[in-house]
Amino acid sequence: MNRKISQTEYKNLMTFCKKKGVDFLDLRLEVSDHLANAVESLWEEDEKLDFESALLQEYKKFGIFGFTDVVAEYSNRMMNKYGMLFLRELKTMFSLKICIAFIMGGLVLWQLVSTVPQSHIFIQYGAWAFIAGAPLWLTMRYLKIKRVIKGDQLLLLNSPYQYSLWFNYFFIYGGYRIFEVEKMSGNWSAEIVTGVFLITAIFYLISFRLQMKTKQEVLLIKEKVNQVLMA
Amino acid sequence: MGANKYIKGFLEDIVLQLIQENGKMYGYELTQKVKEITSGELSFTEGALYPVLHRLEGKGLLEVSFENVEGRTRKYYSLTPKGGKNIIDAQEGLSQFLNGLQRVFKLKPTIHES
Repeated sequence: MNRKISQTEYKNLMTFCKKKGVDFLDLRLEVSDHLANAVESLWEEDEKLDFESALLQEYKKFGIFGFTDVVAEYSNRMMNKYGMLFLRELKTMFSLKICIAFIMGGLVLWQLVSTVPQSHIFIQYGAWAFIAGAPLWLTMRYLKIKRVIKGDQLLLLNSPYQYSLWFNYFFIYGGYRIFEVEKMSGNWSAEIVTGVFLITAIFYLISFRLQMKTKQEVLLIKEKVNQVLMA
Repeated sequence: MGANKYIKGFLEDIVLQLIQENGKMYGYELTQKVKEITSGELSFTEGALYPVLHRLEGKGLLEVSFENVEGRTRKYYSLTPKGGKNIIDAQEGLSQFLNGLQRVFKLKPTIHES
């Protein structure tokens, strides 16, 4: 009977990978499994080889930079994945119900902006509450999710894209121009203001949905890990 | 050194081909399979294999699933329909490439006995 990796040794492998910078949970699982297989393969040749020596021997096969290349490529993929997921979500989100809700909301907003002057306190505070409030709300949700998954990182939760998009959005469509609208180039047309608000709302809605999906994905993987580690 | 120095340009195609033949595979299994098929003449380095697998997954050519095996969580890769189509294109391209190489280096086709 060949010697096999024990649960304690498997836990040590997971810890080893984390210490070596493999923060993504699913990547850590993959690399740990690889190392476990490789160590067991070494034990087929020499059963008395101790676990730590076998592990180091296999770790060296990843090259002088260890897991760096593997983690870097994975991070790149995650960044691209966020963009793809965003577009996919955009395509699938628009059910008839949501389309009607957006059209109705847009019409109400357009009517409001057309009749109330843009310098009106309601419009100004509304713009600020919406443009600054939504990212704040999403950030708070993000921090809450991060607490739940206790620092483990996966998918867009680790993607800087998420934040760059928020800030781009803030500066491109941001509240500043709406706020200072009369000092700049006169009032924006009701159509533009309505359009900006609707696009912003779509953007935040997608971000929210992606956050929820990511949370579920992370928890699912964590559950699998716990099942294995508790077995 | 031998044949291994030429493997880099073909890593993606080799990975796709092996996964197509075996249905679903995990990283370590791929490294062993290449050694086995080529009797050790070709081998993947671990540092090169995983970036390739993740790139192929990112391109939508591979999909992943997790399974609990022997008390461990294992990540399996399998081919997507897009990946299958990619293999057909790769085989055509490789065939042309090898023909070209044979003519340039005046190589005689050889058959390995397994």
